[in-house]
Amino acid sequence: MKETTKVALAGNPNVGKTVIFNELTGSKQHVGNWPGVTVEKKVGNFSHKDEEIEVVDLPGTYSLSPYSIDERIARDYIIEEKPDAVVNIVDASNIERNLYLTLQLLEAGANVVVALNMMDEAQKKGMKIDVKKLSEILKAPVIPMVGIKGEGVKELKNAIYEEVKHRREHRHMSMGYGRELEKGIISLEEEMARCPALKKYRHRWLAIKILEGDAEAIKKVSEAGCDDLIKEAKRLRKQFGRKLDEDMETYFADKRYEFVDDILGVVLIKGKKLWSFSDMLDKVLTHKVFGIPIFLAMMWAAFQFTFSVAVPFMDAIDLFFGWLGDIARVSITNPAIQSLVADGIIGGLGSVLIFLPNIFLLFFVLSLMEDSGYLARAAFVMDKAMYRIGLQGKSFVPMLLGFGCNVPAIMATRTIEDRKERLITILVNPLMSCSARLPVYILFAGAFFIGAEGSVIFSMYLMGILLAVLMALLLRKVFFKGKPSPLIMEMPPYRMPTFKSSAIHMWEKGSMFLKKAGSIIFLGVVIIWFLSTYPGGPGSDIETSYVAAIGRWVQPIFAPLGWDWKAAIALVFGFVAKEIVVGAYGTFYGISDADEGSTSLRSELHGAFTPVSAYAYMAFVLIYVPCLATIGVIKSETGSWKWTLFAVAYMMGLAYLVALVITVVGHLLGFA
Amino acid sequence: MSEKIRLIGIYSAIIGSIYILYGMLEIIAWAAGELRFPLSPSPDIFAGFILVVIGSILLYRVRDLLSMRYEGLSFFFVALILSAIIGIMYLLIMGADLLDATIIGEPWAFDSAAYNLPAIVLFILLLPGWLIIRKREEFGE
Amino acid sequence: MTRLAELKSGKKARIVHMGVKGPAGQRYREMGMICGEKVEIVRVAPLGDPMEIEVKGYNLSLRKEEAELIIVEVMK
Ligand SMILES: Nc1nc2c(ncn2[C@@H]2O[C@H](COP(=O)(O)OP(=O)(O)OP(=O)(O)O)[C@@H](O)[C@H]2O)c(=O)[nH]1
Ligand SMILES: [Mg+2]
Repeated sequence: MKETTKVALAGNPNVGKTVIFNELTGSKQHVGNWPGVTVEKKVGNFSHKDEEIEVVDLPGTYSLSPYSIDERIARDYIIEEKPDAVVNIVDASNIERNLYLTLQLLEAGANVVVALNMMDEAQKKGMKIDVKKLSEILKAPVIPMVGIKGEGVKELKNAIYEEVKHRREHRHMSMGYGRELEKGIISLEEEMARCPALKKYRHRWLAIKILEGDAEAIKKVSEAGCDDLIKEAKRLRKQFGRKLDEDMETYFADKRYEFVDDILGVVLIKGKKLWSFSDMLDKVLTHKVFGIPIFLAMMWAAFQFTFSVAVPFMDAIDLFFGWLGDIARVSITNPAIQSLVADGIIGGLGSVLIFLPNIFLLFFVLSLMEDSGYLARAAFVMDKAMYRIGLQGKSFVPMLLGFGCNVPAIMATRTIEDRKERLITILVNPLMSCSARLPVYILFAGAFFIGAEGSVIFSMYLMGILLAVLMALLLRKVFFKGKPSPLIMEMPPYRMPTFKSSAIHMWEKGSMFLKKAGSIIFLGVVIIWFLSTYPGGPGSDIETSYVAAIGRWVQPIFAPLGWDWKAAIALVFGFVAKEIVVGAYGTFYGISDADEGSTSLRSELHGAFTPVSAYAYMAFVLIYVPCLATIGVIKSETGSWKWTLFAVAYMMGLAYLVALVITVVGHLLGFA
Repeated sequence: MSEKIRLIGIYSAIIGSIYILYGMLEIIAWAAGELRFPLSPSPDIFAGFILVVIGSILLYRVRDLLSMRYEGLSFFFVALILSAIIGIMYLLIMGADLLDATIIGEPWAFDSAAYNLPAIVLFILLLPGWLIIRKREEFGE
Repeated sequence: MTRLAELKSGKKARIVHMGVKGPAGQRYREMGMICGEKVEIVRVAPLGDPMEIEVKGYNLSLRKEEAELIIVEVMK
């Protein structure tokens, strides 16, 4: 059997890789304007003539020396997996910097097809590019494209087909680094021929990399057991460094850019610099007086939109499941099955789906901000404030996403290059009050703080932010000593977001939540139903259930806070997912369609809490472990059980501490 | 061409002043609790703050526009966009509430406190401004 | 010789020396910040810190802390 033909899409961040990936494969995938949005390897397929081709959408990379996790993923794929062809997407309107990567890809020996995307923007800038000549110089096909309009896709498919079918080996463009250095490179290449383990890599590329002092390349060589090679490279580095009076890295970068200049001198006619619409917007959106107020206004509008517009959809879902439950109760006679279906299964599904409207809308607006280019400005505007707490502007976006759901928020930290900053951002992210916690606040605020619900709920969000700031500072002081890494962020031009791409994004994130919800939350609700119905069976007193037994067992821990066993057990189940807490209360009090607005539930709560213990309870819900899914991503993103357990432990401890402080202070101030 | 810029300046000045006026009134209404003003500005400090921001952006470079300099246009454009974001947001919230009323079968009434009429009206009053954005190439140099 | 961080927005300059070391220095070079390159200060963020510059025809933001290490010569 023949191996599948593999093609990778590579290019700088934000050049339209995902757009072209979608055009090629027809598969739906997120398209964003926030540099580095694609953090996962996305795969699709298309067939052309007699070839079935697998396409991989790689994260954006500025060069083949990996600086962030994203870039490492891309580089490893290109170097180690050696796809049959690499489609290098180049932003034509920004060709000068983009070609730097192209040269590196060619140098690494990849079979490059250049997709010259964003020709429309280049034209708007008045740039003229001689495509034919560029192709001749690079010795690679160059296809002009306008990705968003689907222009050039057919030609690109043809070019990919030609490349994988009739590949001409060794037709690499030659880029010289000067006679002296070339001698060194050749001597290293000869030495390398004696290392069979390195056969996989193009020797010239590897030689240049170890001369550049690329840590990963050096590691590869020493793992192959060719330490002589490293010694030789070190000697050459020293020798040339002295001769050239600058370090090797600088020399190579300068040379490559010199080469880009030479190429562009032949193929590019630059346009006159126009005062673009993007510049006009930036002048105000990052203005020294208006920048921050506008940013706050945007955040406020996004929030209002998410939470107000979702209401009718949530009500509809609520009504629908109420109706479904009634039908089940009428049509099923066996009490055990009736209770399982109506209260367990339908109730469980309802409590999962009720959050979809919020999550959909939240990701819709976030995607609008991302695609328009505003999120990069938000990072620019907020950087100094975040820097103060040992983070950076890019940390702000995951924090913001945290208000929607901590799971994608933690995944979004992959754009942060620095490992320490990334870990801090991940560890404090759960303190951002996600939308799943809101129903708990609404329930308790509605029951105990009538007339001040808004302020009380808002105080929860503020408390979360405040604790996140304190924790970030503390983590910096104790575990991650040092300063944030330097900021190197490209500011993409503003672009009109498209409805289609935001809708795709919304759908992807929504279904991701559904998957998480479908398994964990649903299971959680059904387990609660079971534990609270048995061993007595449906209709029996809840005080005799398993749940009550567990609750009484853990309750002593919470006694100083004034919570009863129901509160304790709801917390235990909230560990699975915060969405369950309200539903659990509904089950405890036998209120079948309980939601945060239920009046009967509220009056039941009055017997169990005082305002002080209710407020402490809300704070505890805010701080202690967000949900199993969040713990799962913390593990997968940090790659360490140590940090995952640390996160769980510190949040539990902090939650207890804060709740205790609230209780004590509340009593001291004379509140009941 | 430059005459048009002066016109935009006058337009900005008028609408910007109304934005600030209503923004202030909303903040005062919020601070004073029960106090209400004609044409129902909602007592909402955040919304009021945003109206003041939009108004200030409109007024900030009016002098440039009046003296027929292009630089001021940036501020006009951003104010347009913000005004649209806020206006459309309230319209959507209104639509959502209407839909909600139909779903749960309750009568719906316009609630001036929730829908921020001034923000919606001002958004509509600024709509002609979008014609200028569409022809922005004219200002391109 | 001036430091990049000292320049006001609208100023144009040519990079004379890149003092940023390590991986970050490498990244700046790959992003086009090399000796002899022309840059223009586009703006400074509202809180006064990161600054945005134009280099190689695109916009890049960096903190003053690094811009302090980049020596430039101001162009007329
Ligand atoms: N004007 C114009 N815009 C384009 C074109 N192709 C893509 N875009 C826009 O460019 C932006 C970035 O596109 P993406 O496909 O997300 O870029 P990417 O390379 O996948 O970005 P990362 O995954 O973040 O590295 C989107 O807003 C697209 O709508 C084009 O040919 N012309
Ligand atoms: Mg992408």
